[in-house]
This record gives sequence, structure tokens and C-alpha cells, in this order.
Amino acid sequence: MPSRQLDILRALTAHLEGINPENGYDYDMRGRVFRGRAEFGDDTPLPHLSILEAPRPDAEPVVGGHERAFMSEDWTLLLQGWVDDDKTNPTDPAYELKAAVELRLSDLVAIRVANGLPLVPSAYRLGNRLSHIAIGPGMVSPPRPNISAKAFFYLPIVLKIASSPTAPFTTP
Amino acid sequence: MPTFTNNLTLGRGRLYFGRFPTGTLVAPGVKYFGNTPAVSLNVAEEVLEHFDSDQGLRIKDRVVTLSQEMSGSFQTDNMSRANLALFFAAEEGTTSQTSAAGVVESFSGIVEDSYINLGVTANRPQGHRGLTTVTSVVKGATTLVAGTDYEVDLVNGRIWLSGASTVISAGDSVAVTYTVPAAVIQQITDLNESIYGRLEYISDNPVGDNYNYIWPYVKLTADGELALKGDEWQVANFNFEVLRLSSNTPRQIILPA
Repeated sequence: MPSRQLDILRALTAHLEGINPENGYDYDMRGRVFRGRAEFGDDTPLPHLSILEAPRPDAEPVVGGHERAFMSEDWTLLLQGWVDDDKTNPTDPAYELKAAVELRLSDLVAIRVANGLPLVPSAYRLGNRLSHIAIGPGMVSPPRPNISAKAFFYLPIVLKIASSPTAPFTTP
Repeated sequence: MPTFTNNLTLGRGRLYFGRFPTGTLVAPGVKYFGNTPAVSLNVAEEVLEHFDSDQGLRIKDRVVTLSQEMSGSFQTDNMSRANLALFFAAEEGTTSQTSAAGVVESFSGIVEDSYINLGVTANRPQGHRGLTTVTSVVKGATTLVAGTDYEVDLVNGRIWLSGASTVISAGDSVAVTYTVPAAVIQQITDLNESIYGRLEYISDNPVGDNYNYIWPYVKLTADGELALKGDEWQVANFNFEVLRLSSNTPRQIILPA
């Protein structure tokens, strides 16, 4: 069985791959969402996304239970997306892809205002894997020497998850 | 999400309120309140204590509960018309505006650099809304120039009189000719009645067992201030007292979700 965190990352990957024309998006991210990959070569077709983890863990998780072994922690992930530049306005496509990612992520929290029920029940809280998700704000960058040959964006997302060293794997 | 030992719980849920029509104790339905960042309950007891005072230290030997009150509070950032009406114990309603062309309204003793509201009466303090046009503003035989002597706010039904105008001055009288369209205008007005109703909390915890709470009869009141301006999301705070609907109706029912 996968660890709880990997299970969440895989589910997030699958959800982001839902950015495709069948769901009304202008992009097709199927097979183009990667986990933990910071470097890409020219052989990786654009656009693509990578899910990275912020370098610092939650410094103040909320702990509880016996021996305070259970916690609710903020797990910060960085979504980085690369696009083919627009020659005239290089970052325009990056803004568009970032907006598509934000819209797709909103499925995880969106509710119907009329009755309070999830707008996309299957995606809500990533299939109830999360307590909460905070999206952004992100930033867009043009190509930069020694950093990226293509325009890109960063979008931080903070996942609030319940965890414990006593239960690091998903329930089979 | 895991279910930990001791049923550790991260609380989430939705709040629904059904307002009792005046004179009844039955809600025709319950409506979603919108996002409620905080919901909490409070139980308070008044007790009568007895102490053995015959020797040494006074030792408490009896406690009797005289009364018990249940109440709660919550906060919503859904600043909807319905929630504003509840906050002010007011009523959502509409008012009809009748179309009228060429309405002439006179104003005396004007103040420069100020707005005058068109169509204000004792029964219509908000005045006319969404004007079609302001045809003219005249002072005696002199027609004022729009953009120079005055500016028109058609949406809010008012005219701003410029202090820079060389035609008008404080204390003058002006006459405004305008056209009012027919409209049904939504508004929230005072009701001056207490708000009673049925309140439901539908639990949706990401961690821990879910328990729904039903309070068949509560009195709802606003709590504290409503910040109309600020750099935080606007919120409305409410308190509710849990009452007993009848002798055979529990004040509170907790159900597994």
C-alpha cells in the first residue's frame, strides 16, 4: 500500500491530468503531470507540470491524542508549470496555464452556494484525503538564464492533512 | 483520511436555518447559511450548593442543578441578502417603482458640493433608483450645465451640485426634471421582531466520526459589530439560544451522519 503522502500526490496528479479538452480546457495535461521532478530536457513536450514539495515542513502542526502522536499539519506543495513562450509576450501562456490549474484545483473545495454540498463530489477534498486546501497566490516568470529556458509559473498549495507516524500508510 | 484512536476529530460542517414565519413554530424549510468559519456550543448550569458547616472546614456535600441553558454562536462570511436580513432581524422584500416621465422636483436651500436625492418621501426614504434620464436642472430661468454645474448619478437617483458652479450658490432653489422607470427593487427593511427558527448542523468532518445536530427551536440574534469596511473578509456573528419547542420535543438531537 502507498504511503499516505504518496497516495495524495498520485490522486493530485490524476486530478490535474483532468486538465484536458474533454473537460473543457484548452490544454491537454494527460501524461504531462510529474511528481518531484525539477529538471526537464528538451525531449519533454510542453506544457507540463511538476508537483514539488516546499523545503520546510510545518513548524507548528496541531497535535493531539495519546502521546500527542497525531497531528494536523500544513503540507505545502509547489506546482510548477512550463509552457511554450509567446514570442511577443513571453509570459502570456504561463498565465493561461496557471489559471487552468487554479480552476482545476478549485474542484477540491468548490461547493454549491444554494445548499452547501460539494460542486464536484468526486474531487471534493481530493476524495476526502484532505482536511482543507489553500491555493496560491502564485507567480509567473519569463525565461531566465540559468533557471529556465521557458516561461513558467509557481503555484503554492497548502494541504491540511491529518497524519501520524503510527499510521503513515493508507488503509488497505 | 484516517480514523485515529479516541475518535480524534477535525470539525467541519454546514449550518442550515429555517425561519419561523411570524406567529408560527414551523419552518417551511431550512436554507444553507453559507460558509461558517466557526460554530460552537455552550451549556451553562445554575447550581445550588450545600456545605456541611458543623465542624472544621466547610465541606461541600450537595450540588443541585437549578437550571440549564444551552446556547451557541457562529460566524458566517456569506454576506447574502438573507443573512443580512437575519443579522438585523429584518425582512427581505421588494418595493415597486412606478414609471413616470418628466417628473419635476424642486429643492430649496441647496448646499454646494453635496448630493440631492431624487424622489425622497417619508414612505420612500431611499428615493427613486435607476433613473432613465435627468432632462434638466434649472435655477429660476437659468438652465444648469451637466458636467459643469452638476453631475448625475442615475443608478442611485441623485445629483451632485458642484461648488465650482458660477450659477448656483448655497441657499438657492433648483428644479430637477427626470424620468423614472418602472422597477421592482429588492430591499431589506426593519421588521423589529425576534427571529425564531430551526437550526441544523450537518457534520462533514475530514477526520473523525460525523454527528449532526438539530435544534428544533432557537432564537437567533446578531452578535457584535458588522464591519462595513476593512481589509479582512466581512463577517457576521450570530448567537442562538436553544429553546424547548414543546414538552415532548427535545431541545437538541444529535444523530450520526
